[in-house]
Amino acid sequence: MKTLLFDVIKGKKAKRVPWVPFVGVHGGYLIGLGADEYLKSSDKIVEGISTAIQRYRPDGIPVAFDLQIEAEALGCELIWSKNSPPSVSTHPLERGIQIDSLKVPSEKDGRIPVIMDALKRLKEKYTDIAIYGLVTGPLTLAMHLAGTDLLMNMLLDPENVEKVISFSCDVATKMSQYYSKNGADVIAIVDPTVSLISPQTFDQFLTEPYKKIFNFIKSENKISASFACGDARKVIEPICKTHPDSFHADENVPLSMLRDSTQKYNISFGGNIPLATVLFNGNETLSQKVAAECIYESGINRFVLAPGCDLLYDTPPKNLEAVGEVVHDVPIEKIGAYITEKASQIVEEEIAPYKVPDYTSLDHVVVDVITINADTCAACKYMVEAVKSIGDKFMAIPPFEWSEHRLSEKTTLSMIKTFGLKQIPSIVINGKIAFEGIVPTHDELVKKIREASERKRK
Amino acid sequence: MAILQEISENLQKGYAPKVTELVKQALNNKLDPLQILNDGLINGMNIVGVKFRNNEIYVPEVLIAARAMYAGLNILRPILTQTGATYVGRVVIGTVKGDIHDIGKNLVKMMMEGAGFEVIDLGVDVSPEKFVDAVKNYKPDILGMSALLTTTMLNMKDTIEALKSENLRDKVVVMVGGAAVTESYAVEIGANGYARDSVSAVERAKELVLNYK
Ligand code: B12
Repeated sequence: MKTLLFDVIKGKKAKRVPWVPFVGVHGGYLIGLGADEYLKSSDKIVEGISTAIQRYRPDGIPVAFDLQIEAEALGCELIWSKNSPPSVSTHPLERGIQIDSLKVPSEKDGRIPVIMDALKRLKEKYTDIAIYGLVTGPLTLAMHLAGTDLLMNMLLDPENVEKVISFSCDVATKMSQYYSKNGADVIAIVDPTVSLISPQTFDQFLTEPYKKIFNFIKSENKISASFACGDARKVIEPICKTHPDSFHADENVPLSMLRDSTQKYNISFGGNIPLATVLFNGNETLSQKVAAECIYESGINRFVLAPGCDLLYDTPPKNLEAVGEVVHDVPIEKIGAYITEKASQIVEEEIAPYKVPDYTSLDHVVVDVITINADTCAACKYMVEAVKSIGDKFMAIPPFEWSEHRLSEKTTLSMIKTFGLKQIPSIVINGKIAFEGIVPTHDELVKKIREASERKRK
Repeated sequence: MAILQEISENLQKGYAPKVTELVKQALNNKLDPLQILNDGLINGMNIVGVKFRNNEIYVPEVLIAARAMYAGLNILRPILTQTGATYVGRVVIGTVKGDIHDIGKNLVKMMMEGAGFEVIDLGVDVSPEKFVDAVKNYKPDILGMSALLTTTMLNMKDTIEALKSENLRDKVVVMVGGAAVTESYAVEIGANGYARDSVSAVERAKELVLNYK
């Protein structure tokens, strides 16, 4: 639902997390067409996106995901392929064309009319779903125009690079205007290449252009978004300072980190179901578990569930349908339990039972702390600290050894299955569930360790 | 030696003209060209590679350092060849078919050239047939393939199969890399080596060449 998505982006309370699958060339796959046919026809795009809307039950969806539209309209040659978006093969500025001679594309150039037509029709057809217009970010477009040497020239010839980026920024602003005029609800600046530069370089070249574009989008009363790809951890802060309304990243940026950085600036954040390892190579159960983990880790406040970036062409649709189910059918307060359920289902599907050690033969008590990840999930951290702190205190307790087991490790899944855990984080002591989902007090924990030690002696 | 240290430091900062000047000066001072290469250029480039791996510097900084390295290398290379110094090995490298990501591949190439390999770059979007032809023509010690997309990664396997059917597979060491590729995928498709960054790529390439030569 559109209103739900808007509420969440604006920081209002909502019942559930909104879901925005980034269907690009995957729309072609859904209707049995190669990317080379799909991305050239507004009829096909409308058909592909309509299919995605019916099957995945999204709250928002992009009209298209192709970062080559502007470049093509500006004279870059493209190589087309069936199962991925086109790629730029020639860079005009490398071939002697001067930046001053390039003109910002009009609404009639290249495939811009195709995309705008598809947008208009989708808006008419779906009044309750937010349609995203995706604009090529200024650094990515500048690299399309000038080639990768542009990166080196940021240091060697900054004035010229500034010119190219400033032109790219004008193009992005104009594209935003076209999207706005044709009804897009959210306008996203997609700049995967920002992960290649330092925060200082970002500041020097991109802070002003970004601000300019986001201000423009705001002046049109539209919601703005920034998408980065890759290891963008160091540029999150500089991007937040340019004030988009929302910020999306892929799995290289942990959601908890994205949440903490964006919330300082009252910006909504989104991500980051891995495209390849989960949605493409995984099955429904894994997709659901990971989607639920994203929700759990982020909390419901200002969070938009989405894949890390453009979905791969032949991502199995059943995986995306499965994510849609999590969003619509699992109540937010049950997410923790749902993750454990999915984890044990995965174990059943493919993972061997955990080899339980012979506790009676050990000279210490074994304390296993099962977590999602103590670095990123607060409840997990408290659980680990509870155990850690008893080791630090001066008190006569039986010797014990503890370790954290994170959900990302295969053995952890085996443990969940074998111990029969229903909640995470949990503490298992000598193979017996001691605390599930509740952080114990110091005394409670010591008591359980004592009991385990005595059980053993008997 | 102070001047070699100076070469390394200027290279790290990407000061190409200064590196040129210092390399010439070092040669005038009758320093061994091989030592200038190893303790000046390669030393500097290695530090750059490690800093990049640790996220202390970014792609633009690495690219200008590499440019400074080439400035020095262009002076040293002819002298080294004259004095009979040989390459550590020959590498053919390229980004696989359907993939145009070349920043990572170029960094690997630069580090390898710095480390004394002769590198033949086939560019991007290289089909299995082109790789096979290059192996026939150049007879490299190593064939390096880069893939950043999950979809194009499969073309690495196709290339290895194509090498097999041409009876070339045991004539060349195959190394693979790029963000999509993992160690286990490399093993699965029967590559000889994998590296997650350009510094490790050079280390691994050296080991492999030693073992197979
Ligand atoms: C820059 C970039 C681009 C640029 C490329 C510019 C260029 N000339 O290279 C542009 C904007 C053109 C681009 C286009 C696309 N991209 Co792109 N891109 C990236 C980005 C942000 C960075 C890649 C990069 O240069 N990294 C820096 C270098 C230094 O790292 P590296 O390549 O990994 O190389 C290192 C190691 O891997 C290793 N190595 C590399 N090669 C080799 C080879 C050997 C032999 C060895 C031993 C080692 C080795 O050493 C290197 C140095 O340390 C990544 C994000 C990411 N996480 O990687 C996405 C990414 C790779 N792109 C992606 C996608 C989907 C695309 C597009 C399809 C986008 C679209 N929707 O239009 C197109 C496809 C074009 C095509 N057909 O290839 C996805 C791939 C998803 C997947 N798993 O399949 C990524 C991961 C982004 C994401 N999260 O979705 N992209």
